[in-house]
Amino acid sequence: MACLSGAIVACLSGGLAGCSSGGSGAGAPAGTTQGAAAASASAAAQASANNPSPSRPGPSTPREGQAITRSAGGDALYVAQQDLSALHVLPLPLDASRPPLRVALPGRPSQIVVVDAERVLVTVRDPGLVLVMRPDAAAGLVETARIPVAADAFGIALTPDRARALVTSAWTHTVSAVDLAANKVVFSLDVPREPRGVVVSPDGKRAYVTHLTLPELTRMDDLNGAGRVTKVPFAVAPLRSREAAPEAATLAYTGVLSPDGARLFVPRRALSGDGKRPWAGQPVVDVLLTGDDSSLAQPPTGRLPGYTTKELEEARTFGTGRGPFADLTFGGGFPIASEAFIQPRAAVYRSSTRTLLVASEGTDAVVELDALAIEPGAHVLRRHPLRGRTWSPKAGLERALVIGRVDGSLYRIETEDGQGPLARDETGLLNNASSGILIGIERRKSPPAEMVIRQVMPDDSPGETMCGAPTGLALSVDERTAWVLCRTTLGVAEISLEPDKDLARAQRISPRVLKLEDDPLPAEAALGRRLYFNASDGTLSGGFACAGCHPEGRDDGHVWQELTDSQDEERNDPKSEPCATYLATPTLPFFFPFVGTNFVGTPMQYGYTRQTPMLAGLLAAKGPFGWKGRSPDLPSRVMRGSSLHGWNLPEQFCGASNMKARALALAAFARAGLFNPPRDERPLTAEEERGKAVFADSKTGCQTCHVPATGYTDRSVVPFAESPLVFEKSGPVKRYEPEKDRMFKTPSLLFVGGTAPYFHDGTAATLEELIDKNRDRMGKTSHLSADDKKALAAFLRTL
Amino acid sequence: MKTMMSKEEGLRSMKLRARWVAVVGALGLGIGTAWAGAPDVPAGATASASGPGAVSGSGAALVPSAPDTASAAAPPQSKTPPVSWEGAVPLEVARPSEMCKAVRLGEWARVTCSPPGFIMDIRLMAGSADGVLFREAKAEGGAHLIFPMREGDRREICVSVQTGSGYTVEEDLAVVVSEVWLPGEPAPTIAIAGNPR
Repeated sequence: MACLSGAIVACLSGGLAGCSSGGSGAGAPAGTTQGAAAASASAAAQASANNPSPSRPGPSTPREGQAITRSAGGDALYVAQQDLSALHVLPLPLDASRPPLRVALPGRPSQIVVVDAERVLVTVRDPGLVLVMRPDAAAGLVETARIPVAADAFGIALTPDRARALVTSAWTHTVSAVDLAANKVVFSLDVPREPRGVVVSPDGKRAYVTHLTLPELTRMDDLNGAGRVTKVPFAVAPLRSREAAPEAATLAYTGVLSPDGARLFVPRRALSGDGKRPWAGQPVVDVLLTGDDSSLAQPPTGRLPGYTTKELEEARTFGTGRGPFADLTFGGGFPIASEAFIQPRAAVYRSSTRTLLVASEGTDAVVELDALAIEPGAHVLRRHPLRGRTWSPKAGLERALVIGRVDGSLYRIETEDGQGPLARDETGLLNNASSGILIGIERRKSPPAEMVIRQVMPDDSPGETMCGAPTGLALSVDERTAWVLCRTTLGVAEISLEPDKDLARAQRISPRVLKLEDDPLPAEAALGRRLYFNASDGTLSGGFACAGCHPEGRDDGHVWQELTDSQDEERNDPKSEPCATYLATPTLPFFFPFVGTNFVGTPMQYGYTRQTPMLAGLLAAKGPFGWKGRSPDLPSRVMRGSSLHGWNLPEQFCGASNMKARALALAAFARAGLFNPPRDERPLTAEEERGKAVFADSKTGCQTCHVPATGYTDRSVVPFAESPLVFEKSGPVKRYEPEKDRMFKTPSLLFVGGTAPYFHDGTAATLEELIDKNRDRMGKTSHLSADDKKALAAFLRTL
Repeated sequence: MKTMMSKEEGLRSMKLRARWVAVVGALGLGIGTAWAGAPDVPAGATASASGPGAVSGSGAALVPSAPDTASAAAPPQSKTPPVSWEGAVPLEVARPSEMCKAVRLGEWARVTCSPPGFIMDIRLMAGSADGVLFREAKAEGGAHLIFPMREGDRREICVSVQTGSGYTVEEDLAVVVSEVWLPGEPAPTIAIAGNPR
């Protein structure tokens, strides 16, 4: 067992109580026995609903898996760091003199759940396993049983009696039930793409599964029998979605049940939601009422009374001074809320406060949201920054909003990436304004008189963070401390949930961090990993990270609109791609009235369709890259892609030295640090062999372009006819712009079975549909028999 | 004639111009405008929402208050909002905010919010509009949000204020009021997020 350097790497608070008292917090008991914990969970939940009390401990050892969790005795943390293919056991309270124990695993772990004092379950992604482990004083954890499940095992949750575990397998779209007495799978059910989070209701009668690439949920019933799955429609940001926008949501890594099981909270990214960056959707927490599987949030009904049409019209148009406040008919948009989080990666319910803690992967923060509210994502009660910067201009402050009274005494400073509030002496902004770019000052007339200053500072410290990409959350027994797995910095952060007034300033802005291991990746790739998940890098990200659309290097299943500047397009330079940006949905009422006149030289109302491509396992070739094959190599594509995806990246930034270094780092990580989906290594079935023969047949011509020896692509750029399905899909409303340039780079077919929908416009839901409706645009398939087509699809799924 | 501008400028310009459509209309609606029929604030009736949770925000203890069961016991009132708030009593808010005070008169709630800055608009985001009124609160420099509390409610009201950086005008969510009274629950749960930036 390798026990690498474990050390408290940062504790800005020096001798503060929080640094010395560890995780138990305020003298609370370190933990409870598992039996007591299980019994107390429902009681605590009931008490929470009836008589909240700050001193009441929350439920212990949750039944839902996390990448980090507390031991049954509360004396240790178990950490599953998938990039290291190992578990780490950290004694509590955290102490630099007691470094973590490393437990090597047969594959990459995803989640851990504690069954009781003797059993800890760990999901392993590839090969698909549930490991049964026993706590051991010397080794940390010792494997006692190994239960094979469908590959890419990700989420895990226990039934209330802790007799069964439900396990999601993401790539293989399966949910398995494991009998924990017999250590065997009792049923496995096929579910839609990318099942991730799973929760079981307190009565044990049903479970809910979230999907990374889909808006709907899967409900499972008959958990003690053979299991049964039902698709549950789940409205996406119903109060903030644009009319006529197709419902689309991604990044639902997790779901959290309220203690009584009445509400299911699902943090995710609403691509149809309006917000600060409407082109990229809006992070939200949607709430399902499990009693009838309806959304808690329902759009308004009726109109506000008391206003005449004339009054409203006058108010809407000119503001006559006589009208009322605007009502729901006013403006045409939504109240714009700052993003509470970006890329929600994990969440826990804090019973004692009835709040949700959500790990914001993109901003290196944990936010605390009000679980009592209809829209918890709009009810931010507190932010727990994990980046831990010193926030001086010299450290590379990207952007800050400073609000102060006219007498100069600041009362609030917030940064646009959600790292505030901070105090004046932590920023030095007003004392060092000359070191940044002052872009505006506003003095307000309404009381309280105040001014607003915005500053933009050059970001010269890429990837700087104390806790990169928070990936898992665990609460102490008394719920006064939270521990966070920092994926990209390979550490565990400890944050105090005590009221700010009880904390020293340094505690408020910097977590304690215990490093698990030194990073095995080369330095450049390690930087690339930090950037890949970072949505706040001023040069690269533009508000969302690579991982926001390519979660774990896979695709999010979404079809975007690429809005192209026709000035560039008209140049038709095959060596460069036109300046463009991506929009999440084709209906952006705020934008499009102006698109044809202001930004794009000629009218382009909807954009070209571009499905998010998968990255993992498909980047080994030198080049070219991009839909049109116009980027000669991967770093070039990263730079181009950053301009495409981050709306605020002017063309002139591409190629700048700070961008190039980032692109090289990202390319290095994408090739060395992304993990391929699991592959089922077995002999082909008779049907798959038949499909292989069809694929190789010169009459079909598949492998003329999809050359097996080079990853099922020859990387050439070939003409591709317009998909008639675009118009079939969109019906009377034309939502996509016809392609002017019909040349596309031949895509690789590796892993194609797991990346539905298909075509660049996503118009084929399955491989069967792709083949059936190919209409001889790719090779010749119209002559194939139904069995041949079925066999071809079966073969493609093995690639 | 094509306008030459960078991608950043172009997109931001699109966004801001679109926002101005809303802003131009809102500028005349803010604090200080005349309010026909706006109810007066009864003296002594603006008791702050209270509870063990105190205020929300970074310095707050987050433990929520119990639901205001008194409001559930209130006798049915008229279907129209009260003209006078004489006799209103403090309303227990599960998750209060420093920016808002809440009172109750029978089944009617009045939440008075005074976020810092210029109120651009107030919107009913969710729930029934029946009986909902937004009125200026002159004394408080804010606005009254008036609504009935009835079983089945799933209401959300958002208050936005003007933000910007001198040459831009944007809006930002300043207050969100959530009122939920699901069937079978003893009382409505009101949660207010003040300045949830």
